[in-house]
Amino acid sequence: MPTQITELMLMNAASAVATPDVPTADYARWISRRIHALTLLILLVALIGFSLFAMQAFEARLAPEIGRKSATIGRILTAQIERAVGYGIPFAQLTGMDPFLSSVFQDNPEVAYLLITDATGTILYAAGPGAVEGQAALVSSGAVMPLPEEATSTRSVGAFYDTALIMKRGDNRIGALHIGVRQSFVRGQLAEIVYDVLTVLVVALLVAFEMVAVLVALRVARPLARAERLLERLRRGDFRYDGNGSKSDEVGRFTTALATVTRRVNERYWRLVQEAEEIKAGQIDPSIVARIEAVMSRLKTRFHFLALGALPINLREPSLAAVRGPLFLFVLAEELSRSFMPLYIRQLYTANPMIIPGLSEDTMIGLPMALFMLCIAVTTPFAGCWTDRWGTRRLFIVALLPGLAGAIGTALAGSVLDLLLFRSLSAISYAMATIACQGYIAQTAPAGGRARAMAIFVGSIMLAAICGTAIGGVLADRIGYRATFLIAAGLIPLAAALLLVLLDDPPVQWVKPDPDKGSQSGWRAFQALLGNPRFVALMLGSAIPAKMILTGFLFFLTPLYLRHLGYDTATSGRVMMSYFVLMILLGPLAARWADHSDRHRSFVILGGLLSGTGVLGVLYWNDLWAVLAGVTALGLGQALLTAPTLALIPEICERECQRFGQATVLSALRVIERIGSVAGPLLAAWVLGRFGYAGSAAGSGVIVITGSVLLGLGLLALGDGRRAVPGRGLP
Amino acid sequence: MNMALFHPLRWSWLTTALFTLMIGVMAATLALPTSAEPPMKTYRILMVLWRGEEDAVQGFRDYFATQRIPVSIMVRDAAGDLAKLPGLLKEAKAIRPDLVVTWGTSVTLALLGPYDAADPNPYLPAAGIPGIFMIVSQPVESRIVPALASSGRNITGTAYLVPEETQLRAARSYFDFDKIGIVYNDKEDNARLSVEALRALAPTLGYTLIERPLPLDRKGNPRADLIEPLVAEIAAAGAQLLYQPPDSFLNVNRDRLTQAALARGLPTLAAGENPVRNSYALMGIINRYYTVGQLTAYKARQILVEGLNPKEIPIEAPKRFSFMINLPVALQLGRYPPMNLLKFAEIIEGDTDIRRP
Repeated sequence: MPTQITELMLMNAASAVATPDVPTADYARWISRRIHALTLLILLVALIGFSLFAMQAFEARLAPEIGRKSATIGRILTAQIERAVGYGIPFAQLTGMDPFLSSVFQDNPEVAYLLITDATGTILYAAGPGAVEGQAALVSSGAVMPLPEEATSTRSVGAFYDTALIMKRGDNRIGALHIGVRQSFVRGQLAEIVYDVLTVLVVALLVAFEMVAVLVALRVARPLARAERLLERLRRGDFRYDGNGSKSDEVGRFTTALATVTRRVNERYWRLVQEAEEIKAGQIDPSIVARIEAVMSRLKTRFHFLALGALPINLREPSLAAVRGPLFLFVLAEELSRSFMPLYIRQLYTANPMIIPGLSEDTMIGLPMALFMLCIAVTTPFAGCWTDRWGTRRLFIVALLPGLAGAIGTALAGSVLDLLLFRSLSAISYAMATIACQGYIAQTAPAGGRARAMAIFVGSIMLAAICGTAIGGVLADRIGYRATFLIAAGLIPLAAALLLVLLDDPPVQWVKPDPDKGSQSGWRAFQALLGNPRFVALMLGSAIPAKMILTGFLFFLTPLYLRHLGYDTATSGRVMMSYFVLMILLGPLAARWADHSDRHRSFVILGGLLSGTGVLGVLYWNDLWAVLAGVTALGLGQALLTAPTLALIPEICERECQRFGQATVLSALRVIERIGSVAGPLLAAWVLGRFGYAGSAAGSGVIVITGSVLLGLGLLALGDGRRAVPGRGLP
Repeated sequence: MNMALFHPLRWSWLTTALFTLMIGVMAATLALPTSAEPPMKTYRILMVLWRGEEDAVQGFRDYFATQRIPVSIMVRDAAGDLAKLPGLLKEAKAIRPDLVVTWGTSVTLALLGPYDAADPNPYLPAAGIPGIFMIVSQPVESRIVPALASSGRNITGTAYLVPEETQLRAARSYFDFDKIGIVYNDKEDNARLSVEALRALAPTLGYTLIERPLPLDRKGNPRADLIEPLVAEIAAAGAQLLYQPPDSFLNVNRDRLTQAALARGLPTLAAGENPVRNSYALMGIINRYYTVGQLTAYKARQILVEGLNPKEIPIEAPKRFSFMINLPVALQLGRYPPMNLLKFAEIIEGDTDIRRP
């Protein structure tokens, strides 16, 4: 869930602010980067090649295909006209031609015109939205006269594919029926297919990429790192370690060979100790004994050996990558429904209306989405405790149960009421799984690499959001909502299985980053923070509205709006995906930029203004592009403000951070901003019922803009929070 | 769980028993269909007709043939003679068929009797012989049944006239009209009822009705020689459509009526099939006799095979009517049928020369 994601990005940014990334010359990373680059290159070439090939293949088959379809439609018409003329009705005096021809356009929206000419090329009857344009094109290109030789022929005329069918009475050619299909319509259909194919390919590429990353990390980077650490220890003269490498690859064999060397060195050492003791025992000269003892003790201090008979310590290298694959799949399962969730809820509501007085249809659609957010918010703190108690592995496997029940239940739901239950289960499962993985990363990551580890974690979730949103829309279009949920249900056990294979809980004890963080201190921190006007201004002016527009406009409104405008779920998937793409591309950039310029406030306010203003476009252009612009602006805006918001916390809450710890303050922020996540869909639904789609979208924008303006004015009025702290000057 | 029970060696008797049972069941299933299914009964149906076999009877026969229900149909024909009916009633009682089918109002009343007869005993329903009637124009007005929903006794039947409103609405898909003329024989119930219906519909459908009842001669019979002048009057009054009601006298004189209209460029909408098929009416929105016969056979099947009580079966007309168009008349009038109507209309083609008045 991207609320989760942004939050993680916040954490990421925060730790990035706290601990600068230590550059390490790392051969394993170098290799994996090369492999990534190569994979990307190969996949891109394949992708582009395939797309070009597909386009050409489609184009080549297009005209004849259009001709065949037009001819099929046309033959039904000509047969009836020929029958009428056969009855003796004069060709030029056929009656009721308008309703007769118009029936075609209802069932075949691709047909732009139907024109009927007599044998001299005079147009007798014309119908269709493109009739005037088609007539002009046919006449100017001379396509109406003479009559084509073949009974059926298709050619490109002006902006149309024109198919002409000859009509006869007996053996006499009496005229022709021309059926026009707009070429742009055909291209549009073609583009639709190509978009879908491209979406599938890009997602396949990203998934492959993710899998390659995991594989490289586990099969190459981890053994290399282990071997490197082993060598490093050997170099320092520490012979107590051993790495259990696999026997099937070079690095593994190398590690095993090193282990053998270590074992031999230890054996030799103990033999030496024994021999030294024996020699020592045989000496009379105390100076020689002293020398032997000195040599032995120097040996002991310079090098480290195993105790006699002790087994070497297995050098473990817990890998972050182990959790990446399972997490990716788990989040992918949830994100598959991103592009059509409100549409599915509406379908259930329409099929089985659950009338609750005072709640409109729109509100009923928003309700399961709001409940989902609420359940995540409530479960997250518990999930943190559970991770501490049970460990990542167990919690992730436990999360499988509600996750599976939630997804299958959602697929089979009969009413909105069912959905409320099953979506809650999904939310609980989601919170458990993501927090479990987050906990693992916190435990595993080396102290200096925490920010990078979190970046990997966030990247994985973002990637899953991109893939899930895009491919979920295509899937829903092709196989339906319920089947897509079943696919999601299938991904969840797959994620758990992958986790079982890849992950063994790290032996390191999980140390809480903030040991004195108790519910007591958390509550006091809350009270203290709510007494801090700058913090309250930041929450009310930015954090809550930002979440509100995210869940209200993007998650709730966008799928409904695009459906209202006549677009399919594949399109809404691609539009919504652009938000995640921008977040993943610009989020880290914006964080670095904001840190560099030290203008976190400006970034927060600018981000809010940008995401709010972009949405307002729908008021003027009520179309796909306006919605896309809104989503893009939202992505840009959120990318700008997410990390700086977190960076702002230690600035404006310096006293609270000192008292309660930065982590406690940040979790308070997360709890508070979730008010926005929950309220978003409900508020958007309420406004939707009163002011329509554009009104609701614009409303969320106005809230965000107002919040940003008030935040700006508030921070100006309150002055710089840093001055409030005694004993600290301006930077 | 006691694993010994499932030891392979202990299975022998159990397996044998199961096997025997399985084979027994299979054999029984194979044997059952041939032995258990009784030979289908042949139902005996008596049809009493008014003027010989025609399409309705054919439709009735064809239904049973295509449904492969064995029936033996005995046919008796009154040949339009009321005097023959008492004898046919007697014969029906003697034959005691499983079902009697009556054709037309006269035969139906003679064999099945009115529902409110003072003495129902002479009729077949009282003798325990169920009946179905068809081609009865007005089953309720003829007192055969009290309501179309149920006869209340051991009979049911089918209606065949298309309601006037349906006829006129359908006719408007051909061309619009707001003045309808009608020539009719006031002495005939069917015609009078039809005129009453047209009068009642006039405000709803938005037309004016020009009524011309045929004057009677001294013997009290309608005067056929006045048909042409009356049609001329109607045409002169600006009617765009002439309606020919279900009227026996006009059916006999259909050529005079429809030719007179055609000569004045006035299209005729006929309530019956005959004026369109065999005369010069432009169109008719009718239930084809063949379809009516099939529907009657379906109701016969419900009684004979499915064992329904006839009083539970409502009296209905076929759900889909036929729009008949006399093509030569249409061409001569220059009233070309709209393309969408041509799609489903039944076109009567014919030799224009013979039909030319």
